Amino acid sequence: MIDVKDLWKSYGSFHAVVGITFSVARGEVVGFLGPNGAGKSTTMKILTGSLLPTAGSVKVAGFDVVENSLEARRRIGYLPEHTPLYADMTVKEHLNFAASLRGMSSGRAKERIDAVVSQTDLGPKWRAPVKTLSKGYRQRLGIAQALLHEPELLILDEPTVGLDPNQVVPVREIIRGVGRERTVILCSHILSEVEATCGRALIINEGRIVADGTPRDLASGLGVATLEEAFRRLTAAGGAA
Amino acid sequence: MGPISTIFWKEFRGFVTSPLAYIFLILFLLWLGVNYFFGNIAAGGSFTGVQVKEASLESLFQALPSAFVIIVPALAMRLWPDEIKLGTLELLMTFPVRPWQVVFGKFLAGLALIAAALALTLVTPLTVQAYARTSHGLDWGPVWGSYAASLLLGGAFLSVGLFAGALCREQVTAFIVALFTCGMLVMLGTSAFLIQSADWFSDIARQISFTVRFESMARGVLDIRDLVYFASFTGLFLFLNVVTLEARKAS
Repeated sequence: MIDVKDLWKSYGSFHAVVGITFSVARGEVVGFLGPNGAGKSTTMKILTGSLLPTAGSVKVAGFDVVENSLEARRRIGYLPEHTPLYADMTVKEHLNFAASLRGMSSGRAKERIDAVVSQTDLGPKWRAPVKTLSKGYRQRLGIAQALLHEPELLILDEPTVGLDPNQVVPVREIIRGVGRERTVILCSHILSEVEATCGRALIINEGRIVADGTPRDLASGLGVATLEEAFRRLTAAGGAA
Repeated sequence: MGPISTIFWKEFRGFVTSPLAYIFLILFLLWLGVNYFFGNIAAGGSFTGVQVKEASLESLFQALPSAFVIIVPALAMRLWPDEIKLGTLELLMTFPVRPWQVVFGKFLAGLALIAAALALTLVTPLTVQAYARTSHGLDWGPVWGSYAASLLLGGAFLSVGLFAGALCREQVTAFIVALFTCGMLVMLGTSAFLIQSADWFSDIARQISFTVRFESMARGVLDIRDLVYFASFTGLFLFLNVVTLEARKAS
């Protein structure tokens, strides 16, 4: 589903992503872990076509994200970090806008919007302007929008950051539900979340992949009990903190 | 046409649901109305039109470039900076649309609003027509020429405003940059400026500036060179806008 080969992204002399290579098979739910500034979001932006790589090749569903960007983008649903949304639109307008921009016919748009609204339980906020939504509902709208066109690949960048525990649970349940039928990449630094939802974890640090495996294997391979300890062991600079 | 019309309607709805657009629309009409009123009195006419020898709208369109210099950048400034600041640009770029489609959709939405503002000024020529004491009434040739010239001028200013917005994160910065650029392009061609500058410079200024071309079109003189100038100026700035978006991705 995803094929990343020797991917680089540099800003001047700073290298955000340093030659990473990985692939994700269809149907996998992969946690993309790393400390802040490790290159997670940069990699996701490249996968989704909003940023161009400096070097290397990235294929999504067989389509190169640079050469065949539109075809790749048609197959991806994306929830960017911080969930950017148009504040002046209502939930209804926002989903209609997304459907229209994806070129859906009005019949299909209606059918899919109904489906994602019930899937993310947005019904009560249907006519609410986005600027009045709580963070939990904003997140649900972001996910609903990402699921609208039944993408083969769903990429969620920190979907539960800033949510209170009552809001986290439904969002996590949505992710788990989607993971049963689609390929999902979940960027997060909440390790329990990755342990609970992902069959595989990739740990990235300073632009490099430092570990790849099931959360359980990663922990036992390093002789530690939890993914959290493995994460700290692999990413803490010089053993500090 | 799909993505372009989606973007068009999003931006157009954004205009008509924001109070700012109405404020600028009212100020625009006031500015033109006041200028027309005093312009005609100063020219020796009277408000009832009895003493006006010729039913003319010249003073209406004389005030138009100066009004557009302020109004158009103010309308254009909301098209990009918020998208950049709030991160919706990133979201937009992950939809299967091409940057030029987004730019063009935004441009058309702004142009539609400018056209609507111009349509509201039709009240003036219609009034003049109704009160004109001349045998033929109003000569509509120059009037339509003036409207065409106004729309071209508005489109050119809009492309500058859009480009400024794509470079800036703040609306105010985008507004000021566009205001100065458009202001310079108008000022360069005013007779006061042309008279006091050296010959070689006023020749160049005459070519670059919008004012001379606008005034000749507003008199009803349709010169293909003026059309080409406005079209290529607007096209260039829209193209630069697309380039900016592409460069942002590569940065």
